[in-house]
Amino acid sequence: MKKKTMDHTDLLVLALLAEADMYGYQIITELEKRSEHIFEMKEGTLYPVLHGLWKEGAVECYEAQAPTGRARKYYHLTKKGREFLKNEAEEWRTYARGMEVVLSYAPAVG
Amino acid sequence: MADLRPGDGGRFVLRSGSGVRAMTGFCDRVLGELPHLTRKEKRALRAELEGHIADHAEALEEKGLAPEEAAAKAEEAMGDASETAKALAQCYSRFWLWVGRGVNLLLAVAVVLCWLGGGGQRLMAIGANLLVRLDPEIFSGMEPPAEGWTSQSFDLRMEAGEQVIRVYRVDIDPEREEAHVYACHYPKNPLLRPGSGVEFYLTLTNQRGEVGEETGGISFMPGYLGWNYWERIVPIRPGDRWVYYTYDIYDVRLEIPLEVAP
Repeated sequence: MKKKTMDHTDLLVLALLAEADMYGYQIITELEKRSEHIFEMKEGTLYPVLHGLWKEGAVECYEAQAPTGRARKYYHLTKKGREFLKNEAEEWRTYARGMEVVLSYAPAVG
Repeated sequence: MADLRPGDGGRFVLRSGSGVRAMTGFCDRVLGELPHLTRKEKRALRAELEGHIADHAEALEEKGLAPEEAAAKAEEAMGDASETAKALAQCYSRFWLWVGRGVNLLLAVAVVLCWLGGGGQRLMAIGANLLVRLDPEIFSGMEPPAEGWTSQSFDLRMEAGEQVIRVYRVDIDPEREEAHVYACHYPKNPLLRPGSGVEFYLTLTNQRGEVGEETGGISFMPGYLGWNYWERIVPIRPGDRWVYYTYDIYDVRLEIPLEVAP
């Protein structure tokens, strides 16, 4: 079995940012909503993911003012990030297909 | 007017009119485990984490929670601070941490050296002390031998107590039949100052026991720069093979070969 090259959390974050620039708390809530609460992460652990992606050049960030007047840091997917997303998403789909096929042969349990 | 109320576990909630800004122990705990971040990085990270907690707290307040309860829940949702710090540590270079440690080490060494006495002079003395061991001629300031003279370079050493007496050159004046012997001394321990007046207890003699004279040569203030140099002249005859330095107090003698007879 081929080892996934990107952590699935990175992939999920890139997928969200492909639609729109987002700030940290927004990424958490969108992830929960779109995954129908399957993915609920400890919110602090989002930031190592974001900073790691920034370090690799997959995202860049900027500050904008929130409605409350506070400064908010937004993340934006770069061209490099889109390439990562495209390649990793394709690998993930292949992986998921393979899992689905194998699991379909397993007898029902429970 | 700010309404500052302490929460549990050291949390404070500051209401400032346009919203709630939560100052939490979570950020302190994360940053406490990232000592290698620069001040700028720490400020930026703190602002981002606090902003996240404040966003979450505001969303909870909109659902009807009280500000303090909202802040507490928002902080709890951040999860384990150590786990977050550990993962974040991999995103930040440790270069400045090691630079800082290197600087601290150098400062500590400098403080110790200064404590040994003399401050900057001590450091200069130790530096000079180390250099003179590599090549005594660095500080000798000696002129090249005159025309018609012969010159021999040596590394002949004699220990006299805590001092090292080192003969590094002999020039022979064939016309006047004299051997010019150049020597220096420095302490065995580079952290110590050279003893003063060492050369006064040294006697330069030829094979017949005739005593040489100090010409004055190069003699810097001993104890300041970590060494002392001098030149002595002793009469020699054709066929002489040795001259000798004797350190009277310790009764030790250094034989200096004259490889080129006049």
